[in-house]
Amino acid sequence: MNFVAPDVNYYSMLPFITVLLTAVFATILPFYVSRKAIAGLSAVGLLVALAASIGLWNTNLSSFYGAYRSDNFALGFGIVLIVGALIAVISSVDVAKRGGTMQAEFFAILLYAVSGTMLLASAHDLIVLLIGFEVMSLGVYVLSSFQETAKSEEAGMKYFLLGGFASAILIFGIALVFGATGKFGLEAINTAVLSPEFKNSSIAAVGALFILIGFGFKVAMAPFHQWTPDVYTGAPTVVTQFMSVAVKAAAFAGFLHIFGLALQNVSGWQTPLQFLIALTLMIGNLAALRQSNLKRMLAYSSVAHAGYVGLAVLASPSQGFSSALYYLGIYTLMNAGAFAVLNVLSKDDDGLEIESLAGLGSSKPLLAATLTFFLLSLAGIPPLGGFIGKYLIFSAAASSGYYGLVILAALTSAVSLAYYLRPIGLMYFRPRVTVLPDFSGRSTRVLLVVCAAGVLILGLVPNAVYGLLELVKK
Amino acid sequence: MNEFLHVFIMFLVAGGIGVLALIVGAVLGPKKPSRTKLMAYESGNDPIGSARERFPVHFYLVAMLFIIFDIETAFFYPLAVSFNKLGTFAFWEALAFVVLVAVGYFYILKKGVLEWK
Amino acid sequence: MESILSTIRSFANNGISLQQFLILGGLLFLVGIYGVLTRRNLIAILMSVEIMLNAAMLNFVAVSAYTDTVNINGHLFALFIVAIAAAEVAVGLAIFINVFRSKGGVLTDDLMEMKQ
Repeated sequence: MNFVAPDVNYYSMLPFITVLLTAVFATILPFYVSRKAIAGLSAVGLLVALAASIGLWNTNLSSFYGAYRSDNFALGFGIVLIVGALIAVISSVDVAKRGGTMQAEFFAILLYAVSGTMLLASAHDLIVLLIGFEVMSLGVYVLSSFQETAKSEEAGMKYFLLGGFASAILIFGIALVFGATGKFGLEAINTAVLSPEFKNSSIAAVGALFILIGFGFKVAMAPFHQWTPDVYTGAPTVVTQFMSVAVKAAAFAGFLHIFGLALQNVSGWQTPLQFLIALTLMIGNLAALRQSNLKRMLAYSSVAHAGYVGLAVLASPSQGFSSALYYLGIYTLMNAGAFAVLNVLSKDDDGLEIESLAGLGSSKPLLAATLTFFLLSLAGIPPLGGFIGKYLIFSAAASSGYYGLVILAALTSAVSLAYYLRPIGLMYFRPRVTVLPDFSGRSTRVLLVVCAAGVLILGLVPNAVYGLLELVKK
Repeated sequence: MNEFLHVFIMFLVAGGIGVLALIVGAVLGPKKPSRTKLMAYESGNDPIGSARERFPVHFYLVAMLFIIFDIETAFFYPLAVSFNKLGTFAFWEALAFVVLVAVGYFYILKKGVLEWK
Repeated sequence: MESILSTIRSFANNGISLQQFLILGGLLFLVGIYGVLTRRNLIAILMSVEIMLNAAMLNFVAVSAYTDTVNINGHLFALFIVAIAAAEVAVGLAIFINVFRSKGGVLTDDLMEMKQ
């Protein structure tokens, strides 16, 4: 019996293996070293993985017969995910300062979740994709119930129940697609769909709808967004920060892969997705208007942003993939930055009343200035990164002919100005009412400046980075 | 008939180990009979009384760990079936898998989850 | 593995079609959804989610046994679903225990604090 060793290229999985090994060490070492050392170890591990991702750029290596690919799409998303995790690790240092407890397991579970997100972004096979999806989800369920408060427990519970329900629907959808095509590889599914003897198009269409629901839950698209405000508000702020950027980015990577590669020639999911996006844009932005708590407002704003990125899934893969990646990269910097400011300004994990921001501009100029930056970028004001990101996604969707949705997105984006500008107005044009604490350490202040600079640079010289991303095109 | 010889030997060895364990336990083990120890075995419950008792939360923790480690071994069945074809590569991969599971085991051991008070 | 496969394949010779398997899977899935939507005990919801996973698993195994005689991809996927389901139960029970300790119950009504 001849045996050929399986196609395993460990080099192609270097970033993933680095993160996983760091997670393993972060599991064992808390028994021997301090919590702070674990934070340092996690940051170093993530930085090594970041360097490995950059080193592998353009190499297009693959492993397991193409089931795991570190092409530029996966590496680009990997970089975004690692940056999101790094910001969460740095922000978690401040939590101890304000007297909150962040157990040492936080870093291990966070890193396991990051390894899941990276697997999800690199998967070209539904088995690998599902494993990444579940590793990510299970990690985040635990993280969101991490604080021993009633709200955090409620958040974890809700997230777990609805997330488990959604992934069961997703798995059933995968079962239907497998039943229709007999394949798991993303390209193989597309080939099977295109072959002339393909007869099961209706089964594949139903499967696509189930998968759409599963991913709609995970990226928080209306009407499957119901869990988002409660979970984002109840979870510890650092975890919300990680969920709102990295989990969303990774889920969109899988979303783009499945619908852009495997099911692009299956009909029947495009129209429902358009409805979802339209609903998401309206509900997310209008509900955010009514919020008085900054954390809850940012939760609804992240629902709205899922709608913007959703447009990229509709667009043709050649434009949609790179514009979604660019947008999610900027979104990671600005949203995680905004949550980092919120984290250092609040005394517990319940968030902050927007009214209490009044007068912050004169009392804490750096925090106020960076928060202003992030909020303006989230609103999409030129020349900041958020504007360029929105522009790229809108033009990608428009060139695929979705003019109505693009107009709706632009209109709701104008509405969003109202809730993004209100905190800024309060910070600079109102006298101080409440004295807010400031738990920012030096590392966080550096982090905020770096994030703000990144948002500005990605907005001012988009060609430098977007030129690289052109290579992401499939 | 010859091929059943292996099976027969396996039965002998398996039964022998069981009998041996009982004998060794009876000969070497300390014997301090008490009322609780001589009660009929009911998986740790009182054999007489209401069946609707509340279990300590600790019980659920151990049950949860059992589920996880039990399922992980399921991955060894495909490996065992095709091990002859896969050779050393599969051995090292399985070893990596075992190490990862062992990390989890080490963690729960250190956390003191298995210490029953 | 091979004997299980041949058992399933022998259904085909006895007049049981793939459609019947898929219909059973679909019904099981609906039972699971019904349970999730109507139950108020968190453990019962978790059990319903498991039923949904089992429905998907049945589909994988049936499709794989009937259509793909060379590979056992569907069976492999079923194995992974078993592992995923176990991990999910473990995480879920851990969260349940936490909720039970602080609230004294595991009904969905206990979790309405943040509802607005």
